[in-house]
Amino acid sequence: MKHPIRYALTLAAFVGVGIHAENTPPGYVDFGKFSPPASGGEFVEVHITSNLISMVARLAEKNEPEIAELLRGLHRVRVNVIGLDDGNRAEMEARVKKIRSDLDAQGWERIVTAQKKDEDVGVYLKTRGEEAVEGVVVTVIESNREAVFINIVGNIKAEKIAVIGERFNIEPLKKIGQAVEKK
Amino acid sequence: MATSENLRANTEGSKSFTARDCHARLETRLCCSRGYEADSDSNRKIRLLTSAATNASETCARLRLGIAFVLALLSVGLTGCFKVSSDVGALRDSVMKSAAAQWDEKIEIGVGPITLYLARAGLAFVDLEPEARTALHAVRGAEVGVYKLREGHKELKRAVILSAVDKAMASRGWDRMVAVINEREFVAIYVRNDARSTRNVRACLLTLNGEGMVVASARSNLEPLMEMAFKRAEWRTEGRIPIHF
Repeated sequence: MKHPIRYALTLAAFVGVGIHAENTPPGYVDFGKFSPPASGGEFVEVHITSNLISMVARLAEKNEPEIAELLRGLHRVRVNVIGLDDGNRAEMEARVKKIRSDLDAQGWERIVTAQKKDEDVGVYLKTRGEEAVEGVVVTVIESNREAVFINIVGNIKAEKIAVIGERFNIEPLKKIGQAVEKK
Repeated sequence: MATSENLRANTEGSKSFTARDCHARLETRLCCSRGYEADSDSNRKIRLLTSAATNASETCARLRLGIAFVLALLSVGLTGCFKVSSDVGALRDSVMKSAAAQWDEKIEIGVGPITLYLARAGLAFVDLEPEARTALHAVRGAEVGVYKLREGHKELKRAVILSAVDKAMASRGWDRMVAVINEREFVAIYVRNDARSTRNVRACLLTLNGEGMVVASARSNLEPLMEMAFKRAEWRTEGRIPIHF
């Protein structure tokens, strides 16, 4: 992640926030608690839940109806980026592995698998019926740099994700949108 | 005979004198008595009036004190009284405690609605960017505290600090929305977990580096800010650097 603060604040500005106990919807995945790496590496955590998502959806309705429509369906967005060092690399790799195996076991569909030399990307979908997407999970391990965990929970419309990715030029959203649409 | 006549006259005179005198005395006494009664009534009235006046003046003094107290409270509340609130104080204290270091306060300031209103009124005559003016109008209150490590540069245990601050803020009804930590920066943003209206959203910010800490809080109306954000050309694709991760 090249601009962690900007990215985090962009996300926060979009959606606003609140973290409180809610009934866990089907698309929710508990990644567990993360700590900043001891070596001083990167650590980004964005955690957004429904109360301010709905507030911002109301605000966006006038100027950006497409964004508002997407936001209205969302329950929670969580993004974690953890810099890797010798102290946490093995633990992060093990955690990614466990999350992926749990998702497989729980019937999530793996829609993207990209394994390069030092990069391992997995995108999972939780669907209900033919059209409804209830959750998206993205896990990325870049062996020398960072681990990324993303969980988007709610009634997600693939075409809307892609539209927002295009409109605001957010590459990951474009990719997720395209991947979900292809499915 | 003359003597007896004189004596009779004297006696009559004396009788008549005595009767007149008695009458006069009686009248005087009655008058005095009436006067005394009148005097007693007026005194009682005066006393009552005096006591009522004293009570009224005491009540007035109390009222004045009460008004002054309420005004002082209002001033403190509305101007912010140039101090940080208890939530920001708790944020600051949790960092100071968990960092196990000595800190010096550089500045601590809080501004409430009255101060902001005055600032807005003053800035009405200044040529400001419309967006800056919108932002200024959206803000309802703000507080900032800047602190410096007494030892100069020090490696802080950021994970411990983050955990302590999370705990302190959670106990006061605040949830962490964003945390960004790297070698140079530590930024955490908290929002109230009972936030429901976009017109009065409160957020607390903590930034840390090796030498100092900034805590801040702002209460704002998100609506004009979001409208401004959506209208900004930078949010559009044209000419904008893509966001990667």
